[in-house]
Amino acid sequence: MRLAFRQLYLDYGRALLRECSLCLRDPEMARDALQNALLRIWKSCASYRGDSELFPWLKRVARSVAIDELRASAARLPSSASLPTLDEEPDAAMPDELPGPEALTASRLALERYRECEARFREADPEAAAVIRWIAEDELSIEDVARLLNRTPQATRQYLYQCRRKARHYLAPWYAQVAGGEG
Amino acid sequence: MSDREPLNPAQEAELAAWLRGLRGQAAESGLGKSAHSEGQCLQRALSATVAEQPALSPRELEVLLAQAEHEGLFRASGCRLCQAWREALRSVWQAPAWRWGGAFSGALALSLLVWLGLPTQSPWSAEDGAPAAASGGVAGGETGGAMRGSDGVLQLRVPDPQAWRESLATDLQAQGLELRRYERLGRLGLDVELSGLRAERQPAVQAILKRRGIPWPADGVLMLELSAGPAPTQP
Repeated sequence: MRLAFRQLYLDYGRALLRECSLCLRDPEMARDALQNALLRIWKSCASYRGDSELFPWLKRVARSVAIDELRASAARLPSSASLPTLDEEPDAAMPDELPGPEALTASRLALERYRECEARFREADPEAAAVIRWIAEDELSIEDVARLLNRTPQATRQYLYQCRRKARHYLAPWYAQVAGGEG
Repeated sequence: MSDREPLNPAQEAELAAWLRGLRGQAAESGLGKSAHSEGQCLQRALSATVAEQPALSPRELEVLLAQAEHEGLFRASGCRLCQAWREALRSVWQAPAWRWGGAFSGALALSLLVWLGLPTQSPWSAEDGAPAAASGGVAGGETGGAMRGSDGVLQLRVPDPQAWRESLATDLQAQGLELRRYERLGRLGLDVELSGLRAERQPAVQAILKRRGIPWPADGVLMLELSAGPAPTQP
């Protein structure tokens, strides 16, 4: 068993740590989350029915653990409650016409701008930023996200709508720069 | 709006279009075109900035293994369960109040069994889960005799139990298997967990067992006890 556990770590440890790091910016927290995820995977491997591929299942567990850790740490830190919310703010102004996706990432300058904006977004709302990345990477459905976040599909729709608003807010400088032809 | 208010149909449509763009899917019949485009741009930017996989050190692996051990994750195997049962029974047996009562009950049960002529052990047959490759080995391998006890432990008689067990243990450990040695009532025991065995190593392990006349255990846990017996009979 110890051997199998070691193999699990060697085969999937790095990929799962990446999933945890996307959500938890602190490397120590991400490593703790990886450990908890692997322990949870090991404890619940009997519930893996083999009707889905192994790696997506492992990722789901790791993401779920990372979100739990994120929420727990947010609850521990009173300062996180004072993060700005967008409830009272108007939607970020978007350029009337966005250039094609290629144009937005074609130049080094545009990508650097994007990275800066995304870093601010992750700083302000790591869960929303991680969820958006996971949807883009794995084409997650609303039901997938609902299971991951332990919410109802309806609540998840509302949450994702807010995620989009936040993404627009934090990425607005990037959209504006590229739409204005500076990139 | 807060995230507790339900979305109106226009917002639902916008969200759906944005999500389609974010997943890299095509827009649906011109609805929410700008939201789709926004999601598509974001998807392109995310895929252009793929996060690297961080490095993991062997030390972290050791920490994790120690933690898993500490949490008892490796205790659930058949070997460990057997060990727990044996230890529990041993502690009951060692309690003074039980010792004489147990001895009396044992003697009574033995007398009854002898009187009724019932065997306490049965031959370990090929139908008990042994693969065809190993089924012929029970009588013709290096062992002088193989019988399965009522507790599922395979009882073997070999000329030199200590050396025989060490040889088997060394061969199995070389295949990456975990095992546990013990001694009970003067017999040498060996528990081996085969369930975690990698598929490519299975033929080698089957050959090791077959060579010694040991059938493959159906439940993936091999439990052996060795006692000194006659020299092996060669086929």
